[in-house]
Amino acid sequence: MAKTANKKQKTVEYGRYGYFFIAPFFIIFAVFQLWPLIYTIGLAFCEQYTDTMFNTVVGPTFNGVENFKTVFMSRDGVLFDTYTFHSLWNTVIMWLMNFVPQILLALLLAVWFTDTRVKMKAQGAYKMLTFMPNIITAATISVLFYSLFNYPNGPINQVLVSMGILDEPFRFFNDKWATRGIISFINFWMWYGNTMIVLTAGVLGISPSLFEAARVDGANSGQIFRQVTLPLLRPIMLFTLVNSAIGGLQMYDIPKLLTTSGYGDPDYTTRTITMYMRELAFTGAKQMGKASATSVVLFVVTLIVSLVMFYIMRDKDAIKEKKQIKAAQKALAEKQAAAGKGAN
Amino acid sequence: MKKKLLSALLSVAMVASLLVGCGGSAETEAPAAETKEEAPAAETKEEAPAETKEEAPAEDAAASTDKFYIYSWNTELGDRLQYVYDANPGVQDRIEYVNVGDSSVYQEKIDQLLQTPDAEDYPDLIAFEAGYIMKYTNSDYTLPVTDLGITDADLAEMYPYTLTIATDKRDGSLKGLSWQSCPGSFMYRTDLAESLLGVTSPEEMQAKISTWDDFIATAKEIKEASGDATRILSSNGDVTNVFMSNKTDPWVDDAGVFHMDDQMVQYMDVVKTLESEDLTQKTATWSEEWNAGPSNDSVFGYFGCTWFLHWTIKANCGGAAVGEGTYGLWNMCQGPAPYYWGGTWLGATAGCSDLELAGLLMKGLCCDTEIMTKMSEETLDYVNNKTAMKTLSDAGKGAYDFLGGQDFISVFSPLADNVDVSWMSAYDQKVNELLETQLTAYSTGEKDKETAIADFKAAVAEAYPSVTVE
Repeated sequence: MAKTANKKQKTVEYGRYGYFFIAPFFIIFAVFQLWPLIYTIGLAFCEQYTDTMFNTVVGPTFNGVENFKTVFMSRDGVLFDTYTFHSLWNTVIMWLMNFVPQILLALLLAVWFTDTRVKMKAQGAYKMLTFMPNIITAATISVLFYSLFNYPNGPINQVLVSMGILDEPFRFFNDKWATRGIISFINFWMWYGNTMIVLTAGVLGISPSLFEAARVDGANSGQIFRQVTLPLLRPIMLFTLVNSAIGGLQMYDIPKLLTTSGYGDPDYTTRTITMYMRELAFTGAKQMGKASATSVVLFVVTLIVSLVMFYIMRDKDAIKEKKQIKAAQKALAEKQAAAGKGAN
Repeated sequence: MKKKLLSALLSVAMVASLLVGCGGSAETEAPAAETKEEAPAAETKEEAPAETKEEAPAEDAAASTDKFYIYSWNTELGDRLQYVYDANPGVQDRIEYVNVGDSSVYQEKIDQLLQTPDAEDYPDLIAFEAGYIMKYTNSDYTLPVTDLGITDADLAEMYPYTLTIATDKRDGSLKGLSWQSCPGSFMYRTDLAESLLGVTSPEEMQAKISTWDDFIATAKEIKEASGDATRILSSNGDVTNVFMSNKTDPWVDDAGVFHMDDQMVQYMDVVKTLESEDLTQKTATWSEEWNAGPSNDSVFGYFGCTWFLHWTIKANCGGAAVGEGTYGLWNMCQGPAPYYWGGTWLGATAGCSDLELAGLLMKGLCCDTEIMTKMSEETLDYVNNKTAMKTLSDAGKGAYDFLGGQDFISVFSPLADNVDVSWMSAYDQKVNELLETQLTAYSTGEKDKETAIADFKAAVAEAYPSVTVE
C-alpha cells in the first residue's frame, strides 16, 4: 500500500487540475443560474408582492399552488382564459409567423448558395447583406419600423396613400394583426440570415460525392433536395428548430420596444410571455410569486416543445436499423441456443 | 514537486482572475448603463470624482467625503439645483446627479436602489412625479422634512396642495417638497381662433369651451371652418389629464377599494366622440407628429400646464421670437374644467447620508423666496412660492411675449390656489395606463363600453392583488 502511494507521488497527476480549470464555470453557473432557477421555482409557490398603498413587501409566505391557480384560471374560473395564456398564445403565433417563412427562405438560399451547378455570382456580398440585419440592435430596428409605419405621416402610409392602395392613412399599431405581422416580419428579417448560415454549414457538411452520385443516377434538383439534402440535414434542422423555438418563446425586445406603451398594444395582443412576466414582477404590485409561477409555466412549455421536436425529428431509419439488428441478434442467439440444445 | 506547485499556482491564479474579472464587470456595468442616456449630466459626472478626491484628505468624517446621490429622470431638477449651488458655493462638489433618462424605468430603478441601503450609489435625494409620489411618501423609504431641519415657517409660501400630496397618510408627516406648481389651462392659437371662430379674447374662447359639450361643438366648428385642415387637439389623449384631475374619488381609497366614477365614464365618451367624429389629428401624445403640432396650423390647441407652456409648446413652436413660427400667437384660458398636471417633488431617503446637505438643498430649492424668484424670472417656471409669483406679477414680469403679452402668472395664480388633489392615489400611474389600453380599444371600435370597463377592472385586479375590485 505504502509503495503505491509513494509511486503516485512521483508522477504528477495533471488530470486533477482539469477540475480547477472547469471550476469557474460551475461556480458561476451555480451562483448565477442554478440558484436563481431553484429560487424561482420556490417563489412560484409563495405569495410575494408589494402593497402599493404603503409600499410594503408582503411575503414571501408559502401558499401552495395559489399562484398556479391564478395563472391557469381566470377570475370566473375559466381554464386558460388568463393573461398568462393569452400572452403565451401571442408569443406562439408571432413565433410561427416568423419562423415558418424564415426556415423556408433560409433553406432555399442555403441550397442555392451551396449548389455547385447554380454557381451564383457575388455570393459573399449577398451573404453579408442577408446577415446584416442581425448585426443592428433590436432597439434600433424597432425605432426604425415604428417611424416607418407611423400614423398618419409615416413613409409607408404616405406611399400607400399616394399609390392609391389606401384611401386614408392606416393605423398599423392599432390593428392587432398588422402589429403582429410587423413584429414577425422584423424577427424574420433579422434572423433568416443567421439561419441561412447555419443551414449552409449543414449542407456543406454533406459529402459532395452523394450529390454527384445522385446526379449520375439521373436525379433532378428537386429529387436531390428531397432525397439527399433534407434527410442528411436533419441534425442541423433539429438544432435550428429547437434553438429557434427557445428563442421564439422568449421573444421580448422587438414587441417591447415597437409598441408605444411597451405593454403589447393594441389591447395586449402583442404582449409576449416574457413581457408579461416582467410586467408582473416589476410594475404595479410587483407580484414576484405570480411572475415566478408564470416563468415555471414557460419553462415547462419550452421543455415540452423541445421534446416534441426531438421526437418528430428523430432518425426513424436509424431506429429501425437498430431494431433490426437487435432482432437479428436475438434470432441468432435463439438459433445458437436451439443448436446447443440439439447438440445436447 | 516544483512542477506541481507551479501548476497549482497557475490554476489558482486563473480561477482568481476569472472571478475578479466577473465581479469587476458586474460592478462597472450599472454606472455605464446610466451614463448612456444622460449626455447633459455626463459633464458634471466626470468632474465630480476628481473634485472629491482633492477634498478627501481635508475632511475627516466619512459621511461627508462620500458622494451625495440625487436621482431624477431628466435634466430639469439638475438645472434648477444650479440656483442653489450658486447661492451656496462649494455645495456642488460632493453632489452626484444621476439622470436615469427614462421616466418609465425610473421607478423600477429607484425601487431596486432603495432595497440596498449599503450600496455606494444608494440615493440620498430622489425626485418623484405626481403619478407615483404617494407610493414613496406613504412608506418608510422616505424621511419627514422636519428631520432635515425644515420648519413650518419654511412652508408658509407654498401652495397647500403640494404639501397635501407629499404628506404621509399614516402619521401626517410631510415627506417631500416641490419647487413648482402646475395648474393647467387650455393653450390655443389666437390667429386660428380669430380666423376660424371669430374669437378675439381669452374670455370669449373660454365661453366656447366651458363645458365638454361646448368643447365638442367647438371642435366640430373648427374642423368645418378650416376645411379639415385644423383640429382642436392633436391627440385623443390630450384630454386625459383634465379628466383625471376631476375624479371625485381616487382610483383606490384608503380602505383599498377600487372606484371608477362617472367622470371616467364621461372621459371614455368624450374620447370616443373625438375619435369617431374625427375631431383630433389622432397622433400619439409625445410622438414626433404630436410635437410638430405647435409649429403648423394642423392643431388648434393643447391642454397644458405651467411647464408644458415652456418645455413643450414654446420649444416646438418653430421660432424663438415674435414673428418666427407660431411664437406670440398663443393664449391661455381655463378650458372645460380646472385641472392640475404633473410636477416634481424632492424627498430624502431613509438612508440619506447627510441630512444637513439634504435640508440645505431642499430648503434652497423649494423654500427660499429669493432663489425661487430668480429661478422663476429666468426660467419662467411657475414656482411653488406665492410671494415670489406675486412679486414677479406685480413687477409685470408675467407678461409673456410668447403669449402675445398675456400675463401667464395672473392666469395660473388663481388656478394654483384652488387645486384639489383628493383624487390622487399611489396607484394613479399604473391604473391610468391600464385604462388607456382599454380606452383605445373602445374608442377605435374594437370593444363596446361594457367590455372595455370590465376588462379594465380585470386588469386592475390582476395588477394589484391587494385591491378590492367589484
